[in-house]
Amino acid sequence: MGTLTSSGFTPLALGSLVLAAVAGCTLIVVVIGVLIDRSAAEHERTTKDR
Amino acid sequence: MEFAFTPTHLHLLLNHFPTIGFFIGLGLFVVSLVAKSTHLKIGSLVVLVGISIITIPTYITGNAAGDVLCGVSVNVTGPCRDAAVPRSLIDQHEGAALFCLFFMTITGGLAWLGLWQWRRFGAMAGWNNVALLVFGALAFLTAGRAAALGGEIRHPEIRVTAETTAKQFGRIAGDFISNSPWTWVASETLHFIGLTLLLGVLTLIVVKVLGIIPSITYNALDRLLPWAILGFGLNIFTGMAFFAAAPYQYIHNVAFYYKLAFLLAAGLLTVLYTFDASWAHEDRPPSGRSKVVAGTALFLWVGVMYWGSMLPFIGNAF
Repeated sequence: MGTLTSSGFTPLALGSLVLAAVAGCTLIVVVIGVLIDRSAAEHERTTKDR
Repeated sequence: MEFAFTPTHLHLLLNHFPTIGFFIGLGLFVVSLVAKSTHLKIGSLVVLVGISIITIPTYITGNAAGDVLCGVSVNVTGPCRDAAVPRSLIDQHEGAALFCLFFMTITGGLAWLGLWQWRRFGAMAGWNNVALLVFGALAFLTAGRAAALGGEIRHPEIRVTAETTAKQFGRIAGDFISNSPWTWVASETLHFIGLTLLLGVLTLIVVKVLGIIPSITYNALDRLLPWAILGFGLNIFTGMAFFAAAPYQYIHNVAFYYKLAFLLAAGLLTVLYTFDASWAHEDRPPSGRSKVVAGTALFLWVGVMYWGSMLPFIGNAF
């Protein structure tokens, strides 16, 4: 595994990179989850209207 | 009579499922669309979810089999132990299998979502039909490629793939994760976010089934299930990233095999649990069977976490 000392990154740059990667992937998961949930809500509303 | 059962045996058994089993599942799905058969579609979705779960141990035991033939530990290079086996073919097979696992996981997730939508609304969403066909086709193509390369390893009579010294996808991805200072840390954090989503939702459902939180409705909890499966997907992707980065830490690790066994049992039980709606009736208490299934699922998921934590202590990781 690459280490902090051998990476050439400053701790701040490395921390920012990790944070950005985690935030980006979490955002993708949240967006997919919200889209599935909205699709479910839409489907339930349509079914109820019938 | 002598008897041996190793991860290599398991790989030789399992490697037929992602191709033949998946083809059957996808074929039934296509037929169900043409024939407009709901029962056939549900059956095909169950097959696709099951096959996608089985693909995980297929990939993992493949690395163990590769280690026996060629040694994948710590970037070994040069000829394989068995000189008749080209190392580049093993590497190409692993790279194709990693691609296959990626598409298979997405297809399995979409198939599960289809089952959930069918149970909740009585129909699978139109967009999900299209997405499943697209990702299913990609998964089948990559599974076919991985299978063809795998067959060439021990069958020189059908070998058409030229030997190459170029680094293959599995090792490129593995080395990137292993050598970058941020990828492992970020994946570890995401692994725990996935775990939180999965266990958070499942624990609430189990507690409800056991009758401890009667005020929260099944309808509300059921709506959260896709979040649990998204968490599971995140865990598969990040878990496989760890594995691809350092397979030698896992293939000789007894705790990892226990984790895998618990994961498969928990995954299949959770599929059954989410597929079977008999537990979710507000007007009558859950049956004893539903309570046993719920409790067992929670026990198995806690077991997955336990064996994961024990990787460096009972096993030899890190």
